[in-house]
Amino acid sequence: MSGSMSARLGSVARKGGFIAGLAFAFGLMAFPAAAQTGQIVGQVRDAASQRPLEAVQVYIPGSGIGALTNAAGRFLLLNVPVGETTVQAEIVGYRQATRTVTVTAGGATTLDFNLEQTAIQLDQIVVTGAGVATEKKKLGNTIATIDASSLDNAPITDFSQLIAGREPGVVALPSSGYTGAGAQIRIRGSSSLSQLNEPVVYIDGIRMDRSAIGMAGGDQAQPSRLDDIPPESIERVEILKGAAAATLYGTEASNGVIQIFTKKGRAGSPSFTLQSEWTAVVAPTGRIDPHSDFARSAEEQQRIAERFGRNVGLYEPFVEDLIPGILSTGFGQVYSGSVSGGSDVFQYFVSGRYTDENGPFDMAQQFDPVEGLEPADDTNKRMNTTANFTIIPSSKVRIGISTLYSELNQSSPDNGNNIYGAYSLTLFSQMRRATSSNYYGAPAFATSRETMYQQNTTESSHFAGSVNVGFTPTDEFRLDGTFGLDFASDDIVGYRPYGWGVDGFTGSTPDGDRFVQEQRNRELTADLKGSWIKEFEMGDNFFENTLLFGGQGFVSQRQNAGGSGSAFPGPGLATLSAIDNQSAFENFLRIGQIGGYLQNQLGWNDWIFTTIGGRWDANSAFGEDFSTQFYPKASISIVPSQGLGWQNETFSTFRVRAALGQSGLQPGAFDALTTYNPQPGPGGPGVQPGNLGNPDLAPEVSTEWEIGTEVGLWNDRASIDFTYWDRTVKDALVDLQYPVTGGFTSAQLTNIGEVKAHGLEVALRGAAVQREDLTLTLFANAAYLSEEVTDMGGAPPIKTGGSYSRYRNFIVEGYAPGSFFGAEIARDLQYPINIMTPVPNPDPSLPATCVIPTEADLLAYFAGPVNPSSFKPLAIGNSGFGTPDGTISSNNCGGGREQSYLGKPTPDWQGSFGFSLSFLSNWELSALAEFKAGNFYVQDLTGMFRRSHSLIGRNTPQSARLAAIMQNPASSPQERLAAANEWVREVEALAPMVGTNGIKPADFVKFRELSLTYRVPSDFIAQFGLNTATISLGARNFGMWVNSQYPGMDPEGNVHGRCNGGTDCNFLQSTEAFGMPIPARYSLSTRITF
Amino acid sequence: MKTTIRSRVAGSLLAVLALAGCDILDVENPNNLVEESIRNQAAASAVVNGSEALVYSAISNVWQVYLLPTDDLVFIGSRDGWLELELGNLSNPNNEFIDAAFPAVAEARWMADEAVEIIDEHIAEGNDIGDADLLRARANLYAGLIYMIIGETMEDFAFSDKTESGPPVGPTNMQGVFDDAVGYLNTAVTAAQAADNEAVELQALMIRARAQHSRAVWGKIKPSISGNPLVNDAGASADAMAALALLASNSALTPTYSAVYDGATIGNSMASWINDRKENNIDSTLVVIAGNAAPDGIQVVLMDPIDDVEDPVVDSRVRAFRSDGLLYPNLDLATAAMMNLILAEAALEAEDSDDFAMYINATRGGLTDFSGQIAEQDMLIHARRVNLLLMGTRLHDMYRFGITDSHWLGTSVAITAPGTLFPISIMEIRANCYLNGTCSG
Repeated sequence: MSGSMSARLGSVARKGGFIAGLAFAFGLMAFPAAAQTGQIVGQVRDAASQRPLEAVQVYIPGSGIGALTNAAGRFLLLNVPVGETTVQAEIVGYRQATRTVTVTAGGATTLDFNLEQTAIQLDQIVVTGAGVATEKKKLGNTIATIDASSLDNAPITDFSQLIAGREPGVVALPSSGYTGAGAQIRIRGSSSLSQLNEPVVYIDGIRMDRSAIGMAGGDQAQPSRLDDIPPESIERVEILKGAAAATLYGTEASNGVIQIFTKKGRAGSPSFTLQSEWTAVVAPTGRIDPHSDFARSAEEQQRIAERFGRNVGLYEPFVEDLIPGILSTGFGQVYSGSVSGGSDVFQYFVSGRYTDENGPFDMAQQFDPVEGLEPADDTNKRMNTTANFTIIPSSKVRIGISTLYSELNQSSPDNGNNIYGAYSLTLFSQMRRATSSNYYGAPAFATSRETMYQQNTTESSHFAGSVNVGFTPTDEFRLDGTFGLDFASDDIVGYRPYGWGVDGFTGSTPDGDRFVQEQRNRELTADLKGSWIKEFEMGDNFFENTLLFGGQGFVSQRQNAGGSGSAFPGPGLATLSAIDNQSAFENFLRIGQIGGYLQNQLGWNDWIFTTIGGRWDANSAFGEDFSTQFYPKASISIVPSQGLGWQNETFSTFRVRAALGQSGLQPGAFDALTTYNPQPGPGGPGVQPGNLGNPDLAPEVSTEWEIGTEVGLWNDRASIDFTYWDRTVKDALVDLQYPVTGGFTSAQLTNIGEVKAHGLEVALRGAAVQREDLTLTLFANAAYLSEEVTDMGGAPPIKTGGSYSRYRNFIVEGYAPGSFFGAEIARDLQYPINIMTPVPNPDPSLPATCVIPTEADLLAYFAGPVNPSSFKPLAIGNSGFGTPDGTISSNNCGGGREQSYLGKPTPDWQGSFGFSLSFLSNWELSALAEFKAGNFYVQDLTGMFRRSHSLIGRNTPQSARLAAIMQNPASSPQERLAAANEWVREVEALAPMVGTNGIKPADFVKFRELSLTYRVPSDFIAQFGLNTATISLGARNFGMWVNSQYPGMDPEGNVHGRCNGGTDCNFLQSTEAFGMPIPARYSLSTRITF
Repeated sequence: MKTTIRSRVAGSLLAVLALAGCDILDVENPNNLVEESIRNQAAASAVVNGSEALVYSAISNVWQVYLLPTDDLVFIGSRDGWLELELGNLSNPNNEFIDAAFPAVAEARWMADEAVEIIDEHIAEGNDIGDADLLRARANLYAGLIYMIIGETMEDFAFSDKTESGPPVGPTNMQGVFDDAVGYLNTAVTAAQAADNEAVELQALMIRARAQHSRAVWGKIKPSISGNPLVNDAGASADAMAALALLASNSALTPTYSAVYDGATIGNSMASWINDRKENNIDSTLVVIAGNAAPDGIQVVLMDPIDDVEDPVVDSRVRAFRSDGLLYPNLDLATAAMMNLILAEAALEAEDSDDFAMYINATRGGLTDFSGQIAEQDMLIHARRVNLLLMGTRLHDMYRFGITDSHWLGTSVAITAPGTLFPISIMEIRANCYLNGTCSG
C-alpha cells in the first residue's frame, strides 16, 4: 500500500473513531422526556411458538417514532405523545399487526405483540427500483427480499453464501474449493454477449465496486469484493432481477440490481451481540479417480517397487490414491461483535469481525522442510468493521452515515488449468516415473513439491462510505441526497524464490521470478431525488399519487501499476529491484455516467396501482456519434383480495402484476476509439495497433416484460409466487472479429447482435405445522431459463479461450450462449476407429474422405502392441456449427469435426428446497438443498486430460487398464481391438477430437445447508445478564447427488472464479479444470446478546 | 499522451453539471494514442520502433510453428496442437498454434506497411523527424523482413486494411510476396547508404540476399518438388558478396543480424515454449539437454561429417539459444555464414567445386577444410543444417533435398504433399469475407 494511501485510510480510521466516540456519548445520554410524553415498552413473539422475534419494526405510523426489537424480542418507544395511539409491528415472514394503547405522561405503557407467520407479504416495504419506500403490492415487477436476520444461525460465512439458493433465478456460481474464492452471481442468465453479466451492486445507496479481487497464480482463487461485507452487518438484501424492474438504474442494470442495506441501530440502551464460529473444512475426494499406471520395462518395475513398495508385473496396472495425501482438514474461525442503540435523535450500529481460515490444501505434510523456502498457503484472513449512524436533528431532517472498512489477506497456491499448479500437477502424475526426487511422478513442467514453493498473496483494503440526507419539508414532499465513495486497494504478488526447483526438475525460471501489481479502484456516487406523494379523493374513489424525480452521477476510476521479472542473483532476495529482466506496466481508466429519471405511480382504492416512468443516461463510453439513451418503464399491480370485498380463507390473498421496462449495458470506456498501444522495442519506445474503434458504439438495450401472481392460501399459511419473464436484448454488443490481416487483431465491439431469453420463476412456501411446540415451514423455488443468441449480425462464431482448443464454449447464432461444440464420436459405427489411409479429394483444397475399416483391417492393425496415440476415432462430420452432414471426419479426413453440438452449460431448471423446523420450544433445525437439472452439461476437462493425454495423463484405472491391454505383447488382437473400441468411445479426448467424451449431463442436487440450533432458556441466561444465547451445529455442502453419466468431480467447478467481463468471463462456464474440490464445512457457532 | 474526449449529451443533463463547473463525461486516456496522434511527426520513431518490435515478435511466434515439424525441434510436451505439427500435419487452419502465430504475422505486416507509409508522408511533407534516411531505411528493412517471412512460411496470405477484407493472393502467386520484400529492401539499402549507416545497410543487404535466395527456393518446391534442388540466384549471390565485403571493410560491424528480445520490450515466444515451459526441445538428433537450468547440460549428438567430432556450430548455437536466462535469447535472421552458404550453393549449382569449397570452408572455423571427403551436396546440407539451426530455413531444405522427419506420419501432408507450408488460420477465415464467401457487392 502506498504511503499516501496509508495516511489517507489512517485519517479515515481516526475520523471513524471520533465519530464512534461521539455515537457512544450520544447513545448513553438519556434525553429527558418531554412532560407530555410517555414510553411504550413490550415484547414481540411468534404467535405459534411464542419464540421472541428479533429485528421486528415497531412504530407509530406517521410520527417518525419507531424501534427494532432486540434479540429478546423487546422494544422501547420513547417520547410518545400522551393519549390514544396506534402502534404497528412488522417483520418479513409475519403478518403485520396493529394495536392501540393509551399512553400516560411520564409513564411506561406495556404492549406485547403475537405475530402470525404468513407466507405472503404484500405490505412489505421495499426501496430498490421504486425510488421511495413502497409497499411491495404497489409494484408491478417482482422484487426479491432476503432478510438477513432469518439466517443468523445458518452455516454461512460470506455474502455469496447468503444469497445462494434463496431466490429463484438468482444463482451463485462457485469455481473451486480454494479458501476465500468468491462466487460469480447471475440473475436470469446472461443478457450480454460481451459485457460483464454480473448485477450492479449498491450498498446503502451507493454503487459498490463489484470487480474481482486479483490473485496471481491462477484463476480459481480470486476473492469477491462482495465478501468484504460481513453478513452480521446486513439487515436485508433487495434484488431486482431484470430490466422490467431496474429501469431507474439505467445503463448497467440489464443483469439486475442487488442492493444491500446494512443495520442502522435502534433507539434504546446499548445492545451487544457476540458471535463465534469454528469450522472444519473437508475436501471431498470420493469422486476423484485414484491414480493408476503400469510398468513397461524392468526399469519402471524397479522404480515402482522402490517408490510404492509394489512388485508389479509388466503391463499389470496398479492403483494408488494420491490426492488425499496432499489434503487435510482445514480450520476456520470467525469472531464478530456489534453494539447498537441510541435515542430518538441519534442511533448507531457498530460492528467488527475477524475471519481466519486455513483450507484443506496441505501438500507440505508430505515433505521435509527446505531451508529458506516456504510452502504455499491456502489461507484467508479478513477483518471488517462497520459503523452506521442515524442523526435526526428534527422531525423534517434525517441524516444517515454508513461506513464499511475491510482488510483482506489471502494466500493461495498456483491453481487451476496451470501446468505449475500444485494440485493440477499432482493430478497429472504418472506413477511409473515416481522417484524420491519426483515424488508423485510428474511427467513435465515441475514436480509437485517444487510447485509447492510458489507463493501468491493478495492484500486488499476496502472502504465504502455514504452520507444520506433526507429532508421532508411537508408530509407530502421529500428530498433525498446520497453521496458516497467506494474505494478499494489491492496489492497482488506472485513469487517464485531463487532455487525453487528443489528437485532439479523444472526448467522454468530456476532463479525465481516475481510479479507485483497495485490496483486502486474508486467509485463515486451522487444521487439526488425528490418525491411528492399526494392523496386525494374523488367521490368514492381514493387515489394516491407518487411522483418521483431525480438524477445520479457516477465516476469510476481504475488505476493499475506493477512490474515483473525473472532471475534473482541469489537466495534471500524477494523484491523487484533485485531481479533481472524487469518489465513494468501501468494503466488508468476513468469513466463517468450521469442520468436522470422521472416516474409516476397512481394507486386507486389501495388495490390497483399503475406506474410509468423513464430514465435518461449519458456515459463517457458512448461513441462520439451517439448521444444519450432513454429507458422507459410501465407496470401495473392489481390486488383483488384487498379490494372487491374479498373474503376467502382458502385463497386469502391474490395479486396479479405485469411490468415492462428497458435497461442497458454500456461498453468500456475506450471501446469506441481507434487506439495504438505502447510497445517498446529494441530501437526504443514504440506503438502497435490497439483497438479498431467504432464511432457509432452505443449501449445495448434490454427490453423485458414480466407477468406474475402471488396467491396466499389458508389464511396466508402458504403461498405461491409465480413469474413469467421475457427479455430481448437488441443492439447487443458483439466482439466482432475483423480480418487480422487488417492489422488490428483484437475484436471490436459492435452493436449488431440480438439475444433472447425467457423464463419462469416459482416459489412455494408454507407452514405445514403451526403449534406452540412444533412449527414446520417448507419452501421450494425453481427457475426455468431459456436463452438463445438469435442474431450475431453476421459475425462468425466466437470461441472462448482464444485459440486454446480445449475450451469448447462458443457463442453461436441459434444456440444458448456458451454452448458446447466439439467432436462427437460416430457411435453408430461398430468400430469408429481411424486406421486407414483416406481417399484424396480430386479438389486438393477439399478434405480427403475417411475410410471405415473392416474388422479384418482392425485385427490386422492390432495384431501387435499398439500405442493408443497411433489411432484416432472416427467422428461425425459437420457442414457448419451444429450441422451434421452425414459424413465421417477424423484427424486426416473429413470436415467439421469440431463443430458438433454437445450441449449447453446452463440448466433448464435450477432452484432450491428445504425446511425449517422448530420443536421443543428451544430447538430449530433447518436445511436447504440446491439443484440444477435439465439439459445441463459440464465439461470434465480434468478427466479428459487424466483419461487420455499421453504425457500428462492416462493415469486413471480405466485408461491404464486399456492402454496396458493394447500395449501388452501378450494380448490377443481381439483383446486389443476391444480395448481400442472402448478407448475411442469413452476415453479419447482432447485434440484432434476436442470435446469428445468429456461433456456430459451433470444434473445434480447439492445438500447445501443444515443447521441445528439450541436456544438456551432465557431464565437460565438471565442470571448472567444475557438476553439470548444460541448454540448451533452446521454443515454446508455436505452431500451431493450427480447424474451418473457425469464423470467429473463436482459439476459446480469451473475454470475460473470471479472475473471482470469479456467472453471468457461470461461464457467459459461449466468447465471443470483442475480445481480443488468444493469443500464440505462443519461448524459449531455460538451467539449471545446482552 | 493524455487525450480528452467529450461526448455530446442532452443539454439539460449537462447544464446542471456545467453550472457546477465540472463535466464528469470527460474521458482521460493516458494509456494509448489515438489515430491522429501516430501521424504526428513526434511519433515517427515510435512508429518505426513499434514495427520492429512486432516483426521480431511475429518471427518468434511463426518460427516455432515452422520449425517444429522439422528436425530442428522435437515435441516433448502436453499441447496437442504442437503434436499435430510434429507429426507433419501442417495444413489444419484450426491448429491452435497456427491460429496464434498467424495474427502476430498479420499485425506485424500491417504495422510495417503503415510505418513505411507514415515515414514517406513525413519526408514528402518535409517534416522534421530526425534522421529521416535512417528511419526510412529501418522502416523498409522491417517491412521487407516481414514480407520475406510471410513468403517463407505461408501457403497463402491476404492483405486487408483495418475493417476492409483483402482477397488472398493465392498459393501460386506467393512468389510475388518475395518480390514485394525485395522492393522494400531495395529502398532500405539505398536509404541506409544515404544515412551513411553501414550497420543497417549490412542488415538490409543480408536480408535481401536471404529473401532472393528464399524466392528461388520457393520455386523449387512450388507447386511441387521438382528439378535440381540447388539454387543459384544472381541477386542473392550479389547481395551476399556485397554483405561480406562490407563486413570485411568495417571491423565494427557484427556478422549477425538478430532479432533482439528483452523482458522490458518483447518476449521470445519460441524460447519461452522451449526453454521455460519445455513444451518442445531442440531435436535429439542434434543435442541431448540434460538437467534444467544450466547451459552446461548440453551434449551434442550430431557429429561433423569430416572430423567426426561433436559439431561445434551446433554447440555454440544451442548455447546461444539457452542464454539470457533462457527466456530472451536472440534469434538470428541472417549471418555471415548464411551469406557464405548462399554463395557455396550457387557455386555448387554452377559446378564450381573450388568456389564451393572456399565458401563452405569459410563456415567451418577450426574444423578441417572440406576438400571432397564427402559428396558436395551432403556437405552443403550438413553445413546449412548446423549453421542455419533455428533460423527458419530447415523445412524448405528438408522438402527440396527429400529429407523426412522420423515423426512424420505416412498420412501427413509433409509426406503426401511435400512443399506444403502453413495455411491462413481459422481466425482470418471466419473474419475475411473473401475467405468465407460473405463479401457483398
